[in-house]
Amino acid sequence: MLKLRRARFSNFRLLRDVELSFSVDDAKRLTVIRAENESGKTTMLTALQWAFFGDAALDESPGRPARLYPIDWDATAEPRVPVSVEVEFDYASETTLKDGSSVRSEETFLIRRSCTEHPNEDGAGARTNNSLMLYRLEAKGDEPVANPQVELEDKFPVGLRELFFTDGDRAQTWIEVGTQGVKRARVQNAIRSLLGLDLIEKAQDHVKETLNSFNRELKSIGPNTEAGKLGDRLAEIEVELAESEKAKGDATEALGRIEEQIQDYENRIGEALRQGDRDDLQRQVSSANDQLKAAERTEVQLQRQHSDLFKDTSLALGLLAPHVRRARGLLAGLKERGTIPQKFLPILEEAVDQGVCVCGTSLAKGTPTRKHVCDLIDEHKKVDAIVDRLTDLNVLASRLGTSLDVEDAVGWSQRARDSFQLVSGAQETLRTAQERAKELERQLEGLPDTAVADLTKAKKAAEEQRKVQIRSEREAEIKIHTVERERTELTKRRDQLLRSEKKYARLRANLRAAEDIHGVLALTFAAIQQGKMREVSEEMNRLFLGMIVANTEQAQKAIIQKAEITDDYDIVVTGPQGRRLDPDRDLNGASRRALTLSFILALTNVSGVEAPNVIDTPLGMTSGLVRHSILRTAAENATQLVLFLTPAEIRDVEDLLDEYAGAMWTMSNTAHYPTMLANEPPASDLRVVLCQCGHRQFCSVCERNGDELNDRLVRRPS
Amino acid sequence: MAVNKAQLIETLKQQVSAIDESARIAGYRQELLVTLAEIVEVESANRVRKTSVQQDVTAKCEALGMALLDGGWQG
Amino acid sequence: MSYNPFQALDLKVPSEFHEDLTRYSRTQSVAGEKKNPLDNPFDRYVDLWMLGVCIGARAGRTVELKGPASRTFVTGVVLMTDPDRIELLELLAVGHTGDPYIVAEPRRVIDLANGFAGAGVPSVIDMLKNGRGRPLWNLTEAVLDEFEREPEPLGASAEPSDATKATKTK
Repeated sequence: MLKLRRARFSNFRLLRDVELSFSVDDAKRLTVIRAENESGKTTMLTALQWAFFGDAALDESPGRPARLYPIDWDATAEPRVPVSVEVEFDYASETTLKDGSSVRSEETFLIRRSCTEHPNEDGAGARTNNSLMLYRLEAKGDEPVANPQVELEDKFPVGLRELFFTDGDRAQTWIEVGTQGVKRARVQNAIRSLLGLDLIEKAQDHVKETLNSFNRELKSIGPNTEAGKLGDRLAEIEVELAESEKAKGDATEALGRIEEQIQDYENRIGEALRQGDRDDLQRQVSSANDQLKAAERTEVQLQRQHSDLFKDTSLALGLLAPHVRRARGLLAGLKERGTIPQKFLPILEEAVDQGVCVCGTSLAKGTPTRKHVCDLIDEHKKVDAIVDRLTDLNVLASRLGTSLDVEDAVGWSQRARDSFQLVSGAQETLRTAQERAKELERQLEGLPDTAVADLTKAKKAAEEQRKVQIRSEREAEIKIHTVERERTELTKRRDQLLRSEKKYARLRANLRAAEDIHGVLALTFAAIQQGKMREVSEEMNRLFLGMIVANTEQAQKAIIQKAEITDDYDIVVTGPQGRRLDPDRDLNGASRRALTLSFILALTNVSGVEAPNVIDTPLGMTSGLVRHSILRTAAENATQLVLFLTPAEIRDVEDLLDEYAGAMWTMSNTAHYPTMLANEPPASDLRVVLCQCGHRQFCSVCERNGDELNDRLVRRPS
Repeated sequence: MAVNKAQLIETLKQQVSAIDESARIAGYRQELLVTLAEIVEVESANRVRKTSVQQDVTAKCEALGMALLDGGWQG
Repeated sequence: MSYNPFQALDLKVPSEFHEDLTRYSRTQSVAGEKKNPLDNPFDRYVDLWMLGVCIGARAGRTVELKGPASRTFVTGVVLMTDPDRIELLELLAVGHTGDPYIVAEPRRVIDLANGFAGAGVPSVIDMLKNGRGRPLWNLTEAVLDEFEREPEPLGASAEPSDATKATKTK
């Protein structure tokens, strides 16, 4: 767990001398920093990230360094600008002891990151004296921590920066910006890192290498023996497998790039045709490409639907029909005999309450008959749960049995045949679309316009490359499968041989131990991937639908059915008929923001990684009830929430801020005087000034023109 | 940070129950879990600084193998 | 909380077919792996296992899965996402043993299911591989053929037989 306590900024752009504290109250987890546009919100977000992650957090590129020093710094008076950011934070960690128990420790740390900038006329200055210090704050004094870079990376890896520090306007990087591959990689990295999948995978790799080394040891025990040769071959197999996995991975990656290239060629061909005044041909090409893509999607969708038949309950029911019918008969027999549903027990209990049996015998307290009946009740209670279950099963079996009598296996078989017909039909449609596309391609190649012809040829070449890569992928898969089978056989034989001689006992034990470890790691990987990932997806959906349910735009409410994370790590939203919605075109700004926040909160909650969510302008493009539900959901689900909000964003959610905010600040930019700020600032340079005004207040520092007349605000004495 | 180790170890614990202790030695599941927890620590440390992670992992596998032998495992 | 008596119990397949479990399902075992329905017809490992249980039960064959010959691939917690399967497994156990009270012993129910899987999963793998087409179509053809055949008649009661040989359970 990581929680921010306090931050101090010195000469970081507009933040010349600013210090603030964050709410660490679990009951009021929200810190609100109110600021108009261009009042330092993004600067403070960047500064906080710079403290933790260094220059990696700055938007820099070679030849375009970022400027950290204040823009109006007088370099003639002082040519060197000392820039620094300090952040104090709480950190809790768990250590597992040898006996399997764990111990939690909580500490407070202080980061101090600083540098010296040398302003020049270009704007960005040289940066020297880069320094990072990390202190452990203890009652007896501040203890510097060795290797601060390493320690910080361990506590807060730079790869997760964008998950916990979010610029509201750019937050949609998780769902919109970049190519599909880029978005997917981003989501995948975040999920794999926080759920521990990459850690487990690395552990598996290391244990596998350990197994290889044990196999190689067989040779030293008996180099010319069968065991030795087996060990050799097993070690070779691991190398071959790794090579084939890599080849397969390379082919898959290449395929992804080629698909993007083909799409690019299509776009450029379309553009060239439009420019060449061949609108009609361009329309035909565009339409043919759309139809081809639609046919490909339909084919895959129908194949998937067909494969889903194999997890359908009706298949299992059809195959197990004899067993289900027999069970139905047995359970019906129980019902006929009155064993189910349980009637006996309630009657007995009532009789004990009344103090008299149905036959008239007294069941008064202290009588032997009452004791006997109470013993009977206790005995029956033990089987109560079983009887309840049998009662439920009987109802189900009757229902299932009836449907079996009507349909038997015909139901599933017919559906399978129908589905096969649909897939065949889709393949035919696809073939037709492919032929049409080829025909148009021939027309394009034959055009006197060389740009179009060249692009068409290039696209064709890329399509050939695609076939080559698909073949490579498949060949690698087959090789992997063959080699894995050989490994299984050889491992069996190896184990038999090792059992035969005592001298192999230690090696056998090591192999057993390593295989057990590897096996559990593999099971854990599968459990996290199948279990936790699904949890993240479902939690994201729950949060998202909760946020948008208040969307007054009926169109949004009507079309959005579900949000989920696919096995390919895509965040998708589906609408009616399970159709995928395009975030750019089908979701409004409020829904896109809600989706992003839902993903971030779901992942952090399910992974159990407690860290602050620091978000700049999260409520932009939202209004009214949606804004309300987004803010409430975020405040209730984040461990610590720091929001930079404009006054416009605060409108209509003041009550939520009253409820959840444990700390509130207002930032004002001195440059806004006199156009927007009402009072002359104390400093003449360009800087942010901070005051402790909350969302319902203003003071002499932050008062803006018109605040006096705003009945939502009251003056706070400075 | 960056992964909730306690949660990860809880998931490992659930999967350790798949091991048939009667085919190993008494108390093997606990030994296995401790070994796995130690491997998680080693891998976690290796994320941020170069360590001799491969040697450490091999050593832990060998230690568990030794525990099997000491416990009278016949295989 | 929903009813799942099999939560902490192991679902098993024969060790030598564990690789096939990953091969023919769409659960990614390697990051970035691409899977498709034609070659990887099953959504999750448990879907292949369940079909194996059904095929084994229909043929009246079990193979006891224990020791190194067996491999646990997941615990019964995954059955929560398909509660119908929990009920079907119980009905299968009742129908096979002739004893409704077997539902009081979830371990016996799962042992039975694993036994059927021990015989049935190899059959499913054969179905996927044998044939001229891609695994999805091979499997479709084989399962349709399965429905054309009469199932094995149920015995009076059945106990799983010894370790490594598949046996009839009459």
